[in-house]
Amino acid sequence: MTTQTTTTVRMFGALHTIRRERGLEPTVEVSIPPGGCAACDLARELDLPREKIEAVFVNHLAYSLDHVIQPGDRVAFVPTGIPGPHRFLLGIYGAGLENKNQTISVSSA
Amino acid sequence: MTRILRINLTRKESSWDVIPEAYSGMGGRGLSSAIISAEVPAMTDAMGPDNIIVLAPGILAATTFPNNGRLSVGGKSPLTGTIKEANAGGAAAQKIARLGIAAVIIQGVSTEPVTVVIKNDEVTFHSAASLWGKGNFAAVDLLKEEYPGTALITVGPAGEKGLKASAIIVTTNDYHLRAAARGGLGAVLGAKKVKAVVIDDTGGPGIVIAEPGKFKDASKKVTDLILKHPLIGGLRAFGTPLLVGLMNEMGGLATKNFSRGKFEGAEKIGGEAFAKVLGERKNAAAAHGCMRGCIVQCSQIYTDEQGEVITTGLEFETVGLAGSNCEVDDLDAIARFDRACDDLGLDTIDVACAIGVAMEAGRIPWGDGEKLAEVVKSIYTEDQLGLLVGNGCTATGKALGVTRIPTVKGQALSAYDPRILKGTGVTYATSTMGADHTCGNAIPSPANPGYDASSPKGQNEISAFLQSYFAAIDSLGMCLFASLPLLDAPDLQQHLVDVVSAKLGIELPPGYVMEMGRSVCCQEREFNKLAGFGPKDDRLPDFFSKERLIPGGSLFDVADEDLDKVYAD
Ligand code: SF4
Repeated sequence: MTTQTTTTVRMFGALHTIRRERGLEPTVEVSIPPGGCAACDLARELDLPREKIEAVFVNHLAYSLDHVIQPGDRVAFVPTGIPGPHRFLLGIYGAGLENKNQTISVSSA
Repeated sequence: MTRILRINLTRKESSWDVIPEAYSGMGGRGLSSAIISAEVPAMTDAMGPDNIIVLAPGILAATTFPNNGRLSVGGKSPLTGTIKEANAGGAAAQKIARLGIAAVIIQGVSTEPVTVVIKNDEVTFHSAASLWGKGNFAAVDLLKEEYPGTALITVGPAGEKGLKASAIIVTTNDYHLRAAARGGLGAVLGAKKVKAVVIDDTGGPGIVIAEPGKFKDASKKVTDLILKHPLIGGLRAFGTPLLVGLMNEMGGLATKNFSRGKFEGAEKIGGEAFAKVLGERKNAAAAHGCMRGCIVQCSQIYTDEQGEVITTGLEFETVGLAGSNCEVDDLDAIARFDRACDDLGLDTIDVACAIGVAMEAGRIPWGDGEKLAEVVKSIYTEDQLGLLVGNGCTATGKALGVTRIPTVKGQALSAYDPRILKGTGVTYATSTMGADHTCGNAIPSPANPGYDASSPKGQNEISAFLQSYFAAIDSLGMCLFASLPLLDAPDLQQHLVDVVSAKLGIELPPGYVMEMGRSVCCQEREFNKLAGFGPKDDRLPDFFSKERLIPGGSLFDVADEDLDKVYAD
């Protein structure tokens, strides 16, 4: 028997604004399959524009978007455009670099 | 900027001297610290007549370079006993620069309260008896009527009373208040009986740019690249309180006098909640510049439900320390605390930390937001607890018998817990200023993108890099926020060297920024050594390495040898 564990997902800054503008909550409970799911897939499911995501926090640590989220994890999507030193400081810089090396095309908007 | 203005309060005299060769090409923090090192005996009583106050615009002040108007205020600190530079935005630095002044040196002591008016080639002294005792808002209202179009530098009742967490206030062009907050320099100016310094740049000679064409080109490159950087949008929309949610998510948001790293009420005081309030209230503004030529606009105008301005320029540090660190989840209460500190002329960081300590001692209930401003305002009536917190966190902790006092060299930490941000912890421990995140908030070198903030290893190198970089930025007079994109892009740093070369008319080496910053820090360190500081003072309070942070269980475990390496050579 499998139990469904919900995962809390938070969205900060510009991502928070995007959710609000769509009339949606910036903090949601989602259900993650037992094998986990990649953060980028979760972002797609939440319809978050990928070019606006710098990295994802999972259980207080910053990762790139290919990180696999497990049921029960604490998840927060971090937008681009947070103060520079802190991007490095939060460990987001390295995660962001990995993202860029993979797939992200940065919108000029 | 070719001259030094020296004001002698004892004799009510002033002199305008050509800038000595030894100071040529210097500005801001670097110049201020050089003057203090040369003129203030390191062991002198910071509140005594031998201390001085230096007002120094940066090297790039009043040019077309973006965000160039930070004013460095220097002296020996009565809070830390070290050399001190505290800087603020506002209008004063650009006006002082347009008067052709590289630094104003205020020395001696007036026998009665005085307002000093600086105009082109003229300094006059006026009685400030009717202003003495007034809060900064009231004093600025009166002074701006009397001296329209000027920049004002004022001291509030906290500085008049000699409280050691007193700030020096600087007005913006639209007469909002900014603070050169740290280290108690407001008490030094107050001890000299100076209520206000008025800067009138009418008819001033203006600034000189040695190679205007080259300057314009290099400056434009920097401006364009800063504007394209993604952080600008984030700062404009949410201000620095955006960091509340992120730090909370990391488990490093100072909470309940640094006993925890996460705060349940974080969402209520974070940047997103902050932006919502500003979006809904009358007369509020999410983006506001505190100086001419600011292209970032991280400040804001925070109003109450009736549309009355409470405060402007509410920062992450204030929100974190008066909020989560006191378990207060009410943004309006935090904004009113910020206003009370501006009015009395106090450093929100040291005072909020002091209140956190007073809460730990049971003198104020945890989470009592209304008490924040109330305690600060009680300084007007010389209430004992008010006077205590006005003297800062160390004095409060000692008087109330609290052992967990989050200070280094007598100065309070910001809201970043050093058990999570260990590079920032190294900066808190080793900076020449006492605990001060603005001296080096753990930004790894662009050459080191794999930086792990939680590792105890290598943090000394990161901190040493940052302390030099930000000492240079403070010397250029550039706002720290505009300087951040430069850390992302090495070519931007070269443009910055080009800008300074063109301003001064000398060819500078590519390593100029870092070398200049390092030499500023080393000079300050030398002063501190003469004032009796040594490696034993470059340590965080014990509890950060003994009490595990909740949640996560981190300790500050950077080795003492690593702390000693920051300034080893
Ligand atoms: S970015 Fe913020 S602190 Fe810096 S000059 Fe602009 S408003 Fe002032």
